[in-house]
Amino acid sequence: MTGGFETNGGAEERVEQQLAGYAFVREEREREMRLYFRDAPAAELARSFRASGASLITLTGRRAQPAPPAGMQEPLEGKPRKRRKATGVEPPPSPGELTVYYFYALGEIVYTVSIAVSSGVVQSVADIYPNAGMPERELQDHLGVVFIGTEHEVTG
Amino acid sequence: MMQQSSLLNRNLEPPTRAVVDIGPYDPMLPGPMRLRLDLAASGGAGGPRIVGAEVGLGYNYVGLEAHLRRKGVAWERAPLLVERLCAGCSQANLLAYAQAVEDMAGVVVPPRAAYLRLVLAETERVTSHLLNIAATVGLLGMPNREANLRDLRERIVHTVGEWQGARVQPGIIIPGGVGRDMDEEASRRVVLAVRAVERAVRSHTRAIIAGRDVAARLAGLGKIEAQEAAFAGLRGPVLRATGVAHDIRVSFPTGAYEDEAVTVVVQRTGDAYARLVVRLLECLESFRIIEQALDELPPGPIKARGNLEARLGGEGIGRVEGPRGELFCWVRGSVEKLEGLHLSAGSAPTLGILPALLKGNLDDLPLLLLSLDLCPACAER
Repeated sequence: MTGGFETNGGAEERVEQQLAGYAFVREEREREMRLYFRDAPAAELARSFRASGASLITLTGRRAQPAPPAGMQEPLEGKPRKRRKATGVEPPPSPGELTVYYFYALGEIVYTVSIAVSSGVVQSVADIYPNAGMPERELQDHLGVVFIGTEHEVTG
Repeated sequence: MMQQSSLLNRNLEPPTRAVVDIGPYDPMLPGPMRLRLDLAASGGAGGPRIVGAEVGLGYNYVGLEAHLRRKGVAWERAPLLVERLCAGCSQANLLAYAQAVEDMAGVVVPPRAAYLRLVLAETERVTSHLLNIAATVGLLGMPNREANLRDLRERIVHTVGEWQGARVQPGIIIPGGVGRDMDEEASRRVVLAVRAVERAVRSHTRAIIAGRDVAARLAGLGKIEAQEAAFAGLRGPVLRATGVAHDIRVSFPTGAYEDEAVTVVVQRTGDAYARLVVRLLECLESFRIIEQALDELPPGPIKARGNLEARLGGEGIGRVEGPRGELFCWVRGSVEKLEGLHLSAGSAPTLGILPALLKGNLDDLPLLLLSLDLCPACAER
């Protein structure tokens, strides 16, 4: 294969060595690795993935919804379902907190990198992965995320 | 004294620069979008050249992802909404969504359902590619070939539609399996139709590749280098036409693709001709896969056992090789409802670099847009 899809042996180990400088929670799944960061530099992480030959699939984000006050929950239709025991290790975000998710493909593994951003300002990765430009603009429009270090940066 | 007409005073020198707006609704465009082209006179016998372009999107925006972020939607309603985002990639969108929900719930789809899903996905690839190829040869002045290719596509849509119960968007793929089984009679009909259409498409492929006229018009048009394509994150036939052998069916196989060997079709030149050849050869490969899958269709249930609804909650991902490239789906939800969705369409990265690709002769614009097979509907959820 050619282009950005070349992954040499040990690429997964290398990318994790490069990420070791930042504190993160890791959750392994069958063909997915979930990495949870808080206020980590998105561009630095993206450079680490690019250096390992990973491609960026896409990125998205969400703002944690504030919990409705007690007694204001919407009634469920039909019989209430049994709640499954939580198995995730993701730290719970505070209400209104922004989380940006980056999805990288490296070989047969998808790395889901979620970065909790307390300031609402995130480094753009569009210079490292040009296909990030469009989803970054979408997040800027929908969630008010400010991406810095790129031409679609919003100022003033 | 008679006043001179303003027509006579007009400067007859043609302008050297002009800005032209096309869209948002124009038959040449792949969907509602706006193109602002900066044109310059070429100076010789050729027509004007596009020296700069801006692409305006947002005319197809349905706000599904934004709605889900704010309010969420019941799990029962979500497949319908996802399937109707786009007509051309509806099965690929739905399959990626179903895989993401199954990943979230930790559900394994029964083999029979996985094989039927493969048939649906490959059928959609064939119909999408045939439509693109037919439109391309039509623009090249081959109306008979175009009509014949559209007829062949229609035969596939009609035959599979008889089984599905609807020509498009049948809603068969559901999280945990498929909603409709295929009996032997339906399977036999689909195989017969696929064999007949495969023979005809093979004949068209030989004629198009052997003939000089198509290659002469398309070679060199919209050329993309392999390094550029990989750097820009392009997907699908546009990427494979540059020589990058990347196909989710092979690099990240799921369901029946884990059993079925798929040959990745690759061309090296990266131009519109290479993209056309990739689509033609991928049709032939899809016909082979459909026939083999129906030949080996395993018996058994078509839905996963157990209560999938009780296991919902958390996050999941799905990856599917759609007609225009990889479709990636991420879902997030609780037991009650789907609270987050992100779909990344196959042609979304191509739309991102479209302004750079459009530079060249204005005359080539319709062919160039067709060869890229863009889908604004998928890109603007």
